[in-house]
Amino acid sequence: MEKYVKIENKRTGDHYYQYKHPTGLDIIIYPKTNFRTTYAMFSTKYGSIDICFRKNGEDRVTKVPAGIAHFLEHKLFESEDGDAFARYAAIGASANAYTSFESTCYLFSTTQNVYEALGILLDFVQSPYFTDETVNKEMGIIGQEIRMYDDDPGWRVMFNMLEAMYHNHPIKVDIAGTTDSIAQITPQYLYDCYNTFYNLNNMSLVIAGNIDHEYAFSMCDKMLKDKEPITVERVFEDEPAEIVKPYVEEKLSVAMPLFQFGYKEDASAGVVDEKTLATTEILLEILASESSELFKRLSDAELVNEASFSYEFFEGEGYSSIMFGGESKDPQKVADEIKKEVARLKKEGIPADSFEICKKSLYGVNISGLNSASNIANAITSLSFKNREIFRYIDSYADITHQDVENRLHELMHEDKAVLSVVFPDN
Amino acid sequence: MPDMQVRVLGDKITARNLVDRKFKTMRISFNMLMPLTEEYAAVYAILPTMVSRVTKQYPDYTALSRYLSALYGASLSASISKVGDNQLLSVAVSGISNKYALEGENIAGELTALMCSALFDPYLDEDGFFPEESFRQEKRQLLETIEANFNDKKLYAKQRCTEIFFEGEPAAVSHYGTKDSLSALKREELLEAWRNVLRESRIEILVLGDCDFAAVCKNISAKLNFRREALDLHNKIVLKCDKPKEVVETMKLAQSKLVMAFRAGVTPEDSAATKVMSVLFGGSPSSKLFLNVREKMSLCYYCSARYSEVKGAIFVESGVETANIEKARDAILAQLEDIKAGNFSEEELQFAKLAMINSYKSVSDSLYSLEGWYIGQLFAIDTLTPEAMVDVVSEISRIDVINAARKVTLDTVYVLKGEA
Repeated sequence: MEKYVKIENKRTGDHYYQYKHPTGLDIIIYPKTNFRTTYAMFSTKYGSIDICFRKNGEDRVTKVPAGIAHFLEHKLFESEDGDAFARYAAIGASANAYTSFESTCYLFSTTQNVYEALGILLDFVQSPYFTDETVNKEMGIIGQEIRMYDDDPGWRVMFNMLEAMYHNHPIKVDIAGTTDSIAQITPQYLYDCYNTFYNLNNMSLVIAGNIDHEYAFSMCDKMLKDKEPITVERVFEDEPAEIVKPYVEEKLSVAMPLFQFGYKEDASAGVVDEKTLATTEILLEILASESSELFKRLSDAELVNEASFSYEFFEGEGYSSIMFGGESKDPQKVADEIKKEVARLKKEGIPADSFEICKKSLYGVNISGLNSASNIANAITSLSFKNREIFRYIDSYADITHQDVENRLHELMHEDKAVLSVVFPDN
Repeated sequence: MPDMQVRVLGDKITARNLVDRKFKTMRISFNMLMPLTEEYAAVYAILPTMVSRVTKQYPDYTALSRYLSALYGASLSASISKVGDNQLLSVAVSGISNKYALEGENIAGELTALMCSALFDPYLDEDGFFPEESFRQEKRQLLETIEANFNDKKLYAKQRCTEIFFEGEPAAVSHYGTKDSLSALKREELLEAWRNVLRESRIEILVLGDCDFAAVCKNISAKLNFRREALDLHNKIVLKCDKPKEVVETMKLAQSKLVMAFRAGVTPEDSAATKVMSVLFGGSPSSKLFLNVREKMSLCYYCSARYSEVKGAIFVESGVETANIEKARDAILAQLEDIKAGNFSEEELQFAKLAMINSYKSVSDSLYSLEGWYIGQLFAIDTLTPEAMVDVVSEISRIDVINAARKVTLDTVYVLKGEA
């Protein structure tokens, strides 16, 4: 018997190989052999919200300063004998990393020396090295990054909304932490968090592109370091179902007001499955896409523009929100119109033709997403950290009925859970 | 990369075959190039969105959106950009390839027809003008786009530097026009302007992804039955700056922005060494600006250089603490002096070339990269494939790079100074 399984999908004609490695690491290789690029992501399910946790079922809860996941991302590129960027540069691969609310991902993209690149990735992510000196230096660089985001009105309007929505959940804290919280970071904190969250049982490796899966798997067999498995339980303070306050504003140097309007949703049952996710996306497409009644009304009234208006189902462990954002001369009116349209759809029902059109549209969007190795690897990684599978997700669209979307509509978007955040021009 | 094929469809009208069946999507872009002028920038900027907002068959914006959604999320889109001293007006369609259509639709065929209808037979109202409602909406949205650029301070600082740098050249003009000129537009002047564009522009059609090149060419050719008087386009390159400019502006910001613009001293034909030099200088995470100014000296959160070959310009952009502006500026110039003096290792040079080769080789994996690649070469004497560029770059020597650096002169320093 092969050590890995091949997962095929009829609808898209694509397939991938899945290997649950003995060290605990989940490995997925998605071949795109006509492409020249290979894109690989080595990721840990560890993001900015993981500031309070319990290891191996211990009673003791560990609390750490905000911003460590992001700090670690910056520091892992360094080792005693140099910097991973330089190692990638020497073989002509392009490397990067990012930290989100719930994961930290290290990636490369290359058209040459793909196995050397994979070797570097597997090596440096498994080899932490921090000293007081390197940690202190990084504080300067990250301090600059935090200040840059202070000037970013799109970032501010989003976090102001989250602060008005969540009482306790760390989703409301900036991914990089604060100037104060990063000042508390020490090498010891970094090692503690590294040893907890960079356990291979808490990680995944996803590769899409032009690579031989057998050879890549055998490299993993050689290079993955067996460690005592660790179970991590994320600990969150109780989060009330209610919002903190329905409105928040700030003044910054912008030309036109920016808004973020969201509904706090029930997150108590954990993240949703593939079909519920797809159902929610169809619902939002019906409600707010450019082909919707709502968008037409907002646009005719000159309240939003195509370039900036957006909507999203934003959810993860302990948080869930349906949110809308953009620029508007009158954000309050936009929020009122959205509420009105939600109420109308709840009362009158969703037109059957809108449901069919939006379902087809999202099918096309999903097919298009499979054009790019980076899209594929990113999608698989973020889906799998929430226990979702990419083909099941794509196929679920075909099974969703009009009634499913109606039902979902009635679960979501309650007026007493709505928060509006606005950034106004400061002059 | 499949066989490349360029077909001439008329006077200064060419179609480029970038069909590749490995993609699950197709895209056709219709690119019209006109001289960039203060007088016409605004009216030309609004035209691509005007013709693609509604069509004769779908005279209502929502109806057109619904048609595209039902065609598996296809799109009819418009964009405006700048290529050197010229304004590029683009209208494009894209969608999934026919083999994924669930009900046997000819998606590529429908989209080609939709694009042709938008371009050559736009919807006009009973007075024979573009409809008032579309005009009002598109004018507003374009004005809002200009305002939104101000919200992104990195982009805003780069724009201000560009204006100052190219002062007196067409490239200084915004490809969106100014707020005033847009506000003053009358819808009655649009149709005449659109006819001018169709008659006078240089037209480059790119056919990309999984579709049938011959069929697309045939369908578009059938509509190219009007009189053409294509203009000769110009693009001037200033090789050297004798008197550097410095402009400081202040704003309420936590972090200041420093943008420096240089004359590269070369035309596109001789630009290969300059390309390598600018990547070594600040075009990758192993570049001098990244490793020294950002990492070693911790002076900036971002600090990078980009060479624009069409106008022979190099821009260095950085985000710095206000107290560090002078230090960052000196450090950036010192890195360039180092290259001029040959103070870089064989390894650094090799890293820069490998990074470029990697990015050239990946161009054929994305429809947008391919499109950008050929648009970027509209003023090249010989259009090169990404693969051909790999060979050219591989040949560049240390001396070539030093000589390229020695041609570079500082022209403009722009500081957007943050004040609490």
